[in-house]
Amino acid sequence: MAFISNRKVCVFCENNEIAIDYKEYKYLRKFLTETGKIIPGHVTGVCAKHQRRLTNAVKRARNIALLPYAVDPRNA
Amino acid sequence: MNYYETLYIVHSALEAGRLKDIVLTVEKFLKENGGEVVATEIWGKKKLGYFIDKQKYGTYILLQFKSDGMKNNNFNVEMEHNPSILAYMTVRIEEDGIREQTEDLDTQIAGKEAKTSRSARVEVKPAETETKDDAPVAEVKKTEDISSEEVVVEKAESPVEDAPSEVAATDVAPVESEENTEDEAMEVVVEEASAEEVVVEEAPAEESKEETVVEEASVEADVASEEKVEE
Repeated sequence: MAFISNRKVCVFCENNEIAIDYKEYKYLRKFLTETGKIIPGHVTGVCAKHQRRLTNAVKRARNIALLPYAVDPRNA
Repeated sequence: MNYYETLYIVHSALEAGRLKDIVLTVEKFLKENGGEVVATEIWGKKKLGYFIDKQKYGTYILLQFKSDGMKNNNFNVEMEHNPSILAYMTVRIEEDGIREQTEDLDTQIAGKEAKTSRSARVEVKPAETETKDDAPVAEVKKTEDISSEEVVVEKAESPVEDAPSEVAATDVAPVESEENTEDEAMEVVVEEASAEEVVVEEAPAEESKEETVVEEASVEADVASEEKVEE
């Protein structure tokens, strides 16, 4: 029986054209929970290198109010 | 020389003229502090991720510039002290992150304003076509309307005013776009209105002109009555 890996591949490693940028805040929402927390890389499959850049981008977007710091789950 | 960009949020209540003033003053600050503007991009009014100075919305403006970075602090202080700027963030960028500015400020500002007003116009257009489609339906029900009595009576007194009334009918039309689909509601309204059939018949002999007016008036009346029902 062949071994089939369940390991996810990093989206950003697969496609070099996707830039991690705080101005693309709509795309960054994919990596946030409903309440606005950053989803860990082992859940989304993003590699460590890109997760670091992603985190920085999200934090920049939060700073300039493109993304919320936290959303009340009762309002989400 | 490095490339930087500043994304700042301006109070959303500011109008086109004031907005342009602010953009120009910010660019002036930048030039005083040894920067060179590369591109300015107005993103338009957006909802903020959280309240800033009790504001829910803000106009985002992206300013990309070239500078040696020695006086960026002074520029940031100027931004901090400007009361109409809610928030700002200056970030260093690579050269390939620079955006080409295709439109000048005026067209960008005008474009953003047109977008907001265009959304209103877009609502009107389909509604107008729908009124034409619905005209036969309205014709059938024209004797059975509630508020058409007022309009028709006005027409009878002064048939010259046909044109403005038509305009009025089309003005009201956008409301219909949502409500045309609610055929059930219309039927209910028609049943309720059956008591006041007489009024339309009272209108004098200028039928040829007035038929069209009555159609439109009835469409208008349908809308009005539907609104009442919904309330």
